[in-house]
Amino acid sequence: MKKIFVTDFSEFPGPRYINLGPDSGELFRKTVLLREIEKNNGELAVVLDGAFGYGSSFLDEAFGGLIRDGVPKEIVLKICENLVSEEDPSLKLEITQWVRDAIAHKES
Amino acid sequence: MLAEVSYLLKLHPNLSFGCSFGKRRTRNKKSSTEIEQILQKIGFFSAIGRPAPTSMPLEGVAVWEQLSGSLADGSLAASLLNNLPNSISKRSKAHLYKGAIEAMANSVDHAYPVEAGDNSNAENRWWMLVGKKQNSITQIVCDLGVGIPVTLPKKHEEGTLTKIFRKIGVLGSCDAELIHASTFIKRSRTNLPYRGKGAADIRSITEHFPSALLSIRSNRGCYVVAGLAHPGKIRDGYEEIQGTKGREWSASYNGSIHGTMIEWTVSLKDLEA
Repeated sequence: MKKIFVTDFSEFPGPRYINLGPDSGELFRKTVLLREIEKNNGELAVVLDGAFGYGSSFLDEAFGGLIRDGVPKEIVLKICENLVSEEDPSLKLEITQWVRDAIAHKES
Repeated sequence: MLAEVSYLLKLHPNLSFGCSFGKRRTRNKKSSTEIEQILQKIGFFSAIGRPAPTSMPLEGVAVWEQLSGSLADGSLAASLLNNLPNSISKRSKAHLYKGAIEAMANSVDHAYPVEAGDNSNAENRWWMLVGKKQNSITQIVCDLGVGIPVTLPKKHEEGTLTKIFRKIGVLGSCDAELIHASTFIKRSRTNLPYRGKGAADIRSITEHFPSALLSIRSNRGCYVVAGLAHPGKIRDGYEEIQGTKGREWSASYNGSIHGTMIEWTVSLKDLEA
């Protein structure tokens, strides 16, 4: 399983969209997550530790955005299961909730 | 004041400002010196091109740092938070960062809509201040945009707002009520239900830090919410919101502040935990 360190993308995760500021959730999804999902057949362990902090908008856009981009829900939920967040375990729950919200919205 | 002055000087570079403390200076010298020191620290005198008054440093004066920008840049927020005492835990700084990045993004994304035209300050600028005084830390993010009471009804479906109004028992008929409602928005934008969530992050400061006091001022209204360990006493002029057990207040002003100012204060004890 490929380990992805968010800190390799940025120590300071930014806003939701690229046009709002640097290191956005949209940019992380497009330039890191989607590429790595394709290269590694979705077998990813995303390490959240080490970054200064995360806004909910970044997390929702990066991970919930995968569902909106058409990545199969089974793959995205597996990525959620494999998240590494020892510094703040609540982030794992938060991301999973955003993903579940995105699934529910897509299926409604 | 710094935001307004900076904006006016950008519009009119030849404008000249003066600054005087008048009679109060002689009546309460310590207070005047404290104000001078704070204004100097946040760069007010350099903004108006005036020499800073020379005064001896006073103990107990809040240590303020400020910066501004036109993008929601996390590295800027972090640079201010990194000036805070080392005793503050990494997790607490992460939570302050969470509120700051969302407040900055809200300013960039919502405060200066294109349709505001000449009524908008055009540049998506925000100002952020972080200050330490004795046993607490205060963080402020403000902008000179059109204000939450203007953007909220435009950005959210009527049905969504009606549900929130019902939940919190308001009609949404004044600025303070609209600001109050905005803190419950978890999803926004009429046709993009996955946007938003920033306001909930800002409100969560009072859940994460029991000593916190969060104030959101926008245009003619103010909404204040306190964490469970906050003494529950605030300045005069605020009305307690019914059913909140002395945890939430609102106020209405005759004049508009023409923008939004989000401020939270948290005790060092909470931040060090």
